[in-house]
Amino acid sequence: MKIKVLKFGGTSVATVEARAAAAQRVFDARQAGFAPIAVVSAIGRKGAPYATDTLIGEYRSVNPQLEPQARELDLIMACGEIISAVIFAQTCRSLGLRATALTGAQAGLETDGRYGNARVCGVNAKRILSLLEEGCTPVICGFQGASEEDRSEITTLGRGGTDTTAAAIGAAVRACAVEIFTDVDGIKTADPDAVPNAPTLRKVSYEEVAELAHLGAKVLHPRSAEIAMRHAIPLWVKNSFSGDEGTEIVDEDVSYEHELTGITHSGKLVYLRFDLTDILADRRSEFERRLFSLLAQFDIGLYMLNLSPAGIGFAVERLQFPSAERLLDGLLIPSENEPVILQLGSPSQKVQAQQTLLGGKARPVRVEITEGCTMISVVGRSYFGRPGVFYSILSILNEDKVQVFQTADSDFSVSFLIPETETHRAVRVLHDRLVVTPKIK
Amino acid sequence: MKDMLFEAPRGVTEIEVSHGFAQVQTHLGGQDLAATRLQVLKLLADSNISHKYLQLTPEGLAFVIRDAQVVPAIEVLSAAGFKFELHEGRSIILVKAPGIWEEKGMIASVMEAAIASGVEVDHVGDMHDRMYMVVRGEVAEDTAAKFRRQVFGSKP
Repeated sequence: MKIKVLKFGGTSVATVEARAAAAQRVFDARQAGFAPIAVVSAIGRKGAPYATDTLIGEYRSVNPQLEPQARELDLIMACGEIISAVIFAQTCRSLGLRATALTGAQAGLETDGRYGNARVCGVNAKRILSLLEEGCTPVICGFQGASEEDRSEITTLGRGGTDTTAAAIGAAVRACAVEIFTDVDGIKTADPDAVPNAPTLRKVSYEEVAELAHLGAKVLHPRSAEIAMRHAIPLWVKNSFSGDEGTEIVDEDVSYEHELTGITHSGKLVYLRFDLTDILADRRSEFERRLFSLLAQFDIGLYMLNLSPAGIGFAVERLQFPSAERLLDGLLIPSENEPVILQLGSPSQKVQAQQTLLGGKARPVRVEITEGCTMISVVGRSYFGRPGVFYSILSILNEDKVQVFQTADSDFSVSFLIPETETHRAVRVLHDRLVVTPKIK
Repeated sequence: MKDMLFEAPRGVTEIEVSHGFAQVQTHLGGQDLAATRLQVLKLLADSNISHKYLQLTPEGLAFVIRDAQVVPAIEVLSAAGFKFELHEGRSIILVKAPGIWEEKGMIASVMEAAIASGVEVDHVGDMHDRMYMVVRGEVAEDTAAKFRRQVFGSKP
């Protein structure tokens, strides 16, 4: 039995016509001799009645002051895919296919139980295989599974989780291919909103695509590429609405076809820089230990952490910034001789009150705040490690008057923290100057 | 399918140590720091000196080079009149943790553990799947071993 997994994203099942076209692809796969499995996202995008964001909005609107409950948020989010799978199974049947809708739990997808961002830890594919043996097409809800500890608990896999479901199911049934259908022709060298003529990569390695996805490319979820890589499952990204051949993701180094894989952007960040020039060297490590201990205790996520003799810098997500600000501004760090007080931006009432209580004896550590930042990244397996890479990229950004606050690099990517208002311009200029049009096979 | 590994477990999966590095910190003055940083980077590029873990500091730049690049780096930076400190005999502790940016608080907790262990961290950074620390070579293996014990318990 040659099994093929076809995953359809929100726009691919958004309308009656789109669902009919998607169901036709399932039909065609069956006609071509494959045993197809469909994995579906919720119908449509934000604003559509059963889209994930709409369901979340409905839940939050009950009382915006109340913190949402993670468990119930997962329950309501899972409804979107359940509705989609049922509707899509019926669409398949209308083409004469045998089809059965399955929730993630019914399809045997088990997770580590973390609400809102669960990881797949097992797939019991017995039911899927049994349906395939009977000539029936399983239509599986993406993005959801059941906690392995308590199978009655629905957990969701986080943003892009339907790609992860498709790859995990593909690995579990040893599919000969997993095809991800979306609304673009494949994996592009840059976000088409920033670079409208960005070419489609025809062949790319699992590692490259995972790196692109981790650093902001939205067409495929990085965890799905990692699962496919781990199990050597051939993966394709194709356009639901065109006959384009799409992008093939393979287990080989294809970087010879393109020096740079792409330019990405991601994240809404706030950069904080702690000026520690006035802190004596022998007290600095205690200050740092207490600071990082608090940040860890309150689950503050850090990006682009850096230390220098003059201080510490890191970025936090904009959504977490209010928590970080509440935690840090006016924070008093005790010391034998002279306590230290953190001052985020200009002195707040909290800082002034603390200083008054202490008779002005606390030494202020000023923290410079740069709001409205984002991260752009240059990804290319064979590009890095040679002299001059940073110079090339930074000089291009400097010529184009794009301010860079910080950088970070890995084996085959470098990232730059820049003002969010410059995102598209920076992506465009780097793409125009650095990305060599890939050879079309 | 319980024996199949689908996704990497949360948290730290591996701690590696690589030896043979030096850390460079520049102390650049001037009105246009961005332009002066570029001058340093151009000089390194023209001299065929590769570097990694570049960071922008209020004083200029900090980066890591291989031991073999120490002599040429000192020569070209000195000849050009740039002020810098070069710390030789450094090692890199690489903490691999897939999805570390999604695991809120993890980077801070690794830093807390590093500082609590008494090691002096010269240089630190992160990416979506890892963080690294540059420390003195002679304490790197012990520090990594302490981390491993903290993270993995008695497992090797």
